[in-house]
Parts: sequence; structure tokens; C-alpha cells
Amino acid sequence: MIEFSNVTKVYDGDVKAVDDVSFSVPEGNIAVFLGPSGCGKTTLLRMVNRLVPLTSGTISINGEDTGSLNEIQLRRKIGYVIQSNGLFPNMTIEQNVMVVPNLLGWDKKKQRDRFNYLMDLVGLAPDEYRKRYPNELSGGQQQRVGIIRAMAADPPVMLMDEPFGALDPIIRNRIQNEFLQIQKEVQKTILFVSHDIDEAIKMGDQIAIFKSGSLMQYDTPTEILANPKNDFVNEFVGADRAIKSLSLYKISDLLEEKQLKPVNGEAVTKVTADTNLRETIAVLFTEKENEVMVTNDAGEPQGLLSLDEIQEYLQQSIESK
Amino acid sequence: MNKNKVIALGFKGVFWILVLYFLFWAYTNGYFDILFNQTDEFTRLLRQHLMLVGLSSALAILIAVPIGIFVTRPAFRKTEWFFLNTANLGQTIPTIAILAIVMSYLGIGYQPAVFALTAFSILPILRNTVAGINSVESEVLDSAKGMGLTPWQTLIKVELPNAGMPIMAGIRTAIVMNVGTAALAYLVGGGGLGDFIFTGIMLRSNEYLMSGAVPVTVLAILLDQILRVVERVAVPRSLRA
Repeated sequence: MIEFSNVTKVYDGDVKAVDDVSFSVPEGNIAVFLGPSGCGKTTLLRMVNRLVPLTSGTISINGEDTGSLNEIQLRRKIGYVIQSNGLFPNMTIEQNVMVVPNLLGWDKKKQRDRFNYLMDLVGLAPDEYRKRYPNELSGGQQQRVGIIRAMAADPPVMLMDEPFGALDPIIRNRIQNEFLQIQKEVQKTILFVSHDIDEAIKMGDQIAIFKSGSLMQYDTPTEILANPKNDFVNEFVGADRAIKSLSLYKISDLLEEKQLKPVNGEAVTKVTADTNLRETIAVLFTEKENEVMVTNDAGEPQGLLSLDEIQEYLQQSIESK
Repeated sequence: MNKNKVIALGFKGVFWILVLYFLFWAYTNGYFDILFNQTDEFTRLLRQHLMLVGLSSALAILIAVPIGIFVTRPAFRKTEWFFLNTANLGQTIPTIAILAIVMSYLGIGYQPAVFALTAFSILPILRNTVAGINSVESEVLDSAKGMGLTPWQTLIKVELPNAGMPIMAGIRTAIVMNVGTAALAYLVGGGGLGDFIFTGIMLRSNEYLMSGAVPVTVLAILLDQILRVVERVAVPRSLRA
């Protein structure tokens, strides 16, 4: 768990970059720091590994005050990924990924095994890329290497500063999905800076929205979309927040509140109950159907679901909060 | 092959033909006779010349690279103008003037010559070391720091290797210039191939002039090529443009 208590950063005596921020991120979660540029989100992130010193307040990781630790030791236990990947141009891919394990004195065999494992994790052939240099890789490949470099010594905490910001939309989407898949496996506590609300909704277990150094709202994506705390958050999430929240609900969520119409024998398109509502609507539109058949994991039909019911559910969930 | 390459190759070809013709012409006119008649004297002067270039270049590297590192440390950034301007002075004052000044303190011989050549060689190495270290991207330094490299580790593992190409280029420039300038060592009794050249000038003897000047030129080209090989070995391929 990462705990921020009354964290403040003041530059030059009067510019408050971060203003009395307190919240905590549970272990194994991704917390996205969201806000317009200059809102202090990157400063707050960089205060965690003490690249930026705190003016007042404390940041603790698993109960340990980061201010009480040696900053070099602290940083080696925290993965750090930045937008432009920051790979070292003079080192091969393997040397880059193994920078921290090397500093920690891992033996050759352990380093090699770890490199192979991590490269496989992001779908890059270890032997093909081992001896290559960063400038010989595409932007997407470089960013993947940047991510596994941060994971190399298996740190429990990772800081990611707009890690996918420099990638084109198609590659970005793919790497986001890959990363979520990896996160399911590795369960790191991740602080993730973004200025993109869609990315925040997709990646975050929690979202912290900042405005000029102050924390506006800290909640789950569903809460933030359903119930923006103030005008700033409301404006920032956008007028289409109901549509944005579609991808956050699964059919199984809807089933908790609604009875489906019984299946009447007609063959319609099937979707499983763990499909999200956004994809479900996409299926309805592309298949030109009025209803889809919801099935459970075993493929047994559960009932029929129509667009009207999705709309009704969504309105309820937003109004009820 | 495109048009520009053909033209470049043509120029190169013509150039080398002219050089070879010149050497052949000089040889048939007996301008290299000194090399054959006074081989012992020639090798003695060549050795002296190499000693002058070798020691002054080594000293220049040992002085310029650490200063370059020093002035690029965040805490000492403000000293950069002082060191760079001092080094500028070392190169803008005519070498002969430096020799004259140095002579009045260190007397004549090998030492003042080495001193003057060192002063003359520092600037290109220092300037390139500073430029090279400054050219390392701030994101690269940020991620090095963020991953827990100490300032020393950042310098050794990241900054210097990434500045390797410009630093090597500075060293190469300095050494090649040094080979030519070392001919002036004769003026303070420092020896070297300048002995032949100045003897040639004073006696109006093409034989002496050529036997001094041509080996100096060949030596400069040869050292340049050797340093290019060193560069290939020392600098990873990703940094060689």
C-alpha cells in the first residue's frame, strides 16, 4: 500500500505544485493520476521515488516512510517508466533491461533467465533482440523494453509517467491491453500518470483527479463517471461520461439488477455474461440485431438482452449515485 | 549509385592521382634523398616528433577530459565559461607566441615544446567533451536517476559512453593538429621533424623541406586512421552516425 499524507510541494517559496494531498493506493492496484498539464500529477509521482523532495507531508510504502530510507536503495525498489522510455542508447537491449539487477549484483544466470522471461512476457523474442540497440527498435518495441526494464528486479511498486503517451493510437491500445494482461499476473502497485480520461478509465482501479496541485476526487472509475464530485471533475470527464462508463459495466453487473427475457428459441448472436456493455452494444449494431443471447461460461443460454435494457440500466446506475 | 556519389568518387580519384603524381615527381627529383642518405638522423627526429605528440596529447587528454566532466556536473556548471575561455586562449594565441613565452620560463628543449603543444591541444578535447556530455538527453539522465544509479554510476555507465563519439572526435582532431604543430618545436630546440623543415627553409633546400614535411603529413593521416579504428572499437555501433 502506498499512502500519501498531507503531501505538499512548494517551489520558490510561493508556487504550490502539490497542495496538501492525502489518499492511499491499495496493494496490487493501478492508481491513475489524471489532470491537465501543470496540475502537479507528475510532480507528485516523482516525489514517490524522491526525484522531487517533499516540502512537507509523508509518503509511505507498506508502512515505511520513504523519507527515512536511503534514496538510492529506495529507487532500486521502485520501477520507473517515462514517456520517452529513457533507454540508454549506448547499451544493448539486454544490458538496458538488466541495469538494476546488475546494480543489485545478480549473477549472470539469474539475469539471463529474468531477461528471457520478461521479453517473452511482452512478446519480444529474447535472442533476436538481446544484442540489439534501442535505436534499432520501433517506438512500440522500445516502450515495451522500457516497461520490462522497470520490472526487471521485480519491484513491488512501479511509477509510470505517461508511458504510452508517445505512441500512435493503435499501438497504444495494444500495449495498454498487453500491460493489463501482465498486471493480472504480476499484481504490482502502480502509480500511472495520464492526461487522457479514456486511458485512465481503462487502466485505473482508482483515479485521482488533480487541479492546480489539489486533489479534486479520488475514486474508482465507475464512481467518478457516475458521480463527479464537482464542476471541474464533471467537465474533465466530459459530457459523454455515460458512454465512457459503458466499458466499465459487464452484463453480469446488469444481471444483478435485472431479469432477462427468456430465450424463445430463435437463433440470435451469443455473448458471454462477462462481456462489457460497450462491446455488447457494438455486437448489437454490427449484427443488426435487436437482442443478443447472453450465455454463461459453459455456453448455456441465460436470456435475451436488448439495447433498451442497457440504456435503462445505465441511466439507473448514474442517477442512483 | 546516385549522381553526388559519382562526383564525390571522381574528386577523390583525381585527388589521389595528384598526390601520387606529386610523390612520384618529388621522388624522381631526388627530394627524398635525405631520407635514404641520413636514415639514422631521420629516425631520431621521427622518434622525437612522436614523443612530443604522444606526451603532449596524453597530457591534454588527462587534463581536458576531467575538466570537461567537472564543468558539466550540475554543481559546477557556472565554471564552464571560465575553463572554456581559458582553453580558447590556449588555442587563439599563436603557437609561436606561446613557445616564446614558455621559453622564457622553462628554457629551451623538450619541456617547453611539450607544454606549448599541450596548451594548444586542450581546447578541441575539452570543447567536445563538454558538448558530448551536454548532448546526452535529459530523459536518459532522468531514468538513470530514477532507477537508482548514483551520480558516479550515471557518469561512468551513461554519460561518458554516450558522449564517446564526440570525445573521440575531439581527441582525433587534437592529435592530428598536434602532429603538424609539433614541427614548430624546432624553434625552442625541441627537435622533431621540424628540424628538417626549418633547415630546408633556411638553406632553400627542397630536399630537406620535403623530407620533413611529407613524413609529417603521412604521420598525421596515419594517426587519424588508427584513431578511427580505436573509435570503432571503443564506441558502440548505435552511437556511430
